[in-house]
Amino acid sequence: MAKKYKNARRHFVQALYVALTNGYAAGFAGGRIYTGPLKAYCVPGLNCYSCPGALFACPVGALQAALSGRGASFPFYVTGFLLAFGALMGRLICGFLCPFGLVQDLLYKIPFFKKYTRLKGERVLNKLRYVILIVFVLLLPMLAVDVVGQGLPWFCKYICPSGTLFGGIPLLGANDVLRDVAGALFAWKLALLILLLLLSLMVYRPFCRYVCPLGAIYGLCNPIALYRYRVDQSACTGCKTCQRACPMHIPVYRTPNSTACIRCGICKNACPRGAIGSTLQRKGQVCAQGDAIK
Amino acid sequence: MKRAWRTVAAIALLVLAALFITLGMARGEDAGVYRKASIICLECIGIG
Repeated sequence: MAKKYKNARRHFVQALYVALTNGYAAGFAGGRIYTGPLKAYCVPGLNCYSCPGALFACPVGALQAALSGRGASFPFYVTGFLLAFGALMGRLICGFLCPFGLVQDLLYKIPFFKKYTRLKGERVLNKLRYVILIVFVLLLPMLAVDVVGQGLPWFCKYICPSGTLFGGIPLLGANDVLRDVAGALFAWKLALLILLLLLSLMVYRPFCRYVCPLGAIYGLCNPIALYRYRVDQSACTGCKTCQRACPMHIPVYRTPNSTACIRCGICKNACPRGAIGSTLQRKGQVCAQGDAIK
Repeated sequence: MKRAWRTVAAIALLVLAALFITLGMARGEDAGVYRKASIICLECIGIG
């Protein structure tokens, strides 16, 4: 019961966050986007700024735009947002503040004949998000430029399923002009989105695990972020209940601050000894000792 | 890494982030983010 309640509370926070950051209802009705001053600020999660409801800017889109511009230099502003969000929360953002994460969470709840905790080649697939970050978000927008030095947002253009779901589909649905010019690229992105949504029925958060460049950045912040998990060595028996409960199959008792952990909190609820806590809990409330046990 | 050092590292990152955001605003980068985010990004929606 407690587990269900905690997960329901997380989904409530996710839904509230999506509503608050994508609350421009007129955009959905008219097939246009919000153009107010809030668009100069980045949100923590992957949130396409071409979603008709989006009130803020997507950090990954803004980073690529800054890198691909003519005469681009180091993007201090967007990097500052990414560092601040990462240092504060790490991948807690993925678990609580990402619209596409919520979609995948809900899809995984749908009963399916087979659910996989890991895919074949999981170790390699887990590194894919770093490749996508380096190649599609950083290198290609900077280096693959036209004659006037203008690059493209490669990740947004060829991969991002969040942009297709929250930006492309609602805009094309409400805007005849855009619908008329949609072609092969939209078909490709739509196919990729459908593939990821179908995969989400079988695997927990496939996009977050294998593809998301923002998750790659925040994952690197997990071990040092102000919000971290702690395992009480004196209480932990190494029974692996946390690992079995974890939808990502992370051995939380060994690596509480794994780069893959999205801080969903299921392991904390599952631990029969209450040995897993976070830095938000007072010292001694759950954990009496250090951060990790090795 | 001990817990205290992790916290120091996080705070150092936050200070760096604040510096970066301030420097970025001084260079007008926030206006660039606004310009990009306030027009429909055709690439993002799979058209451009």
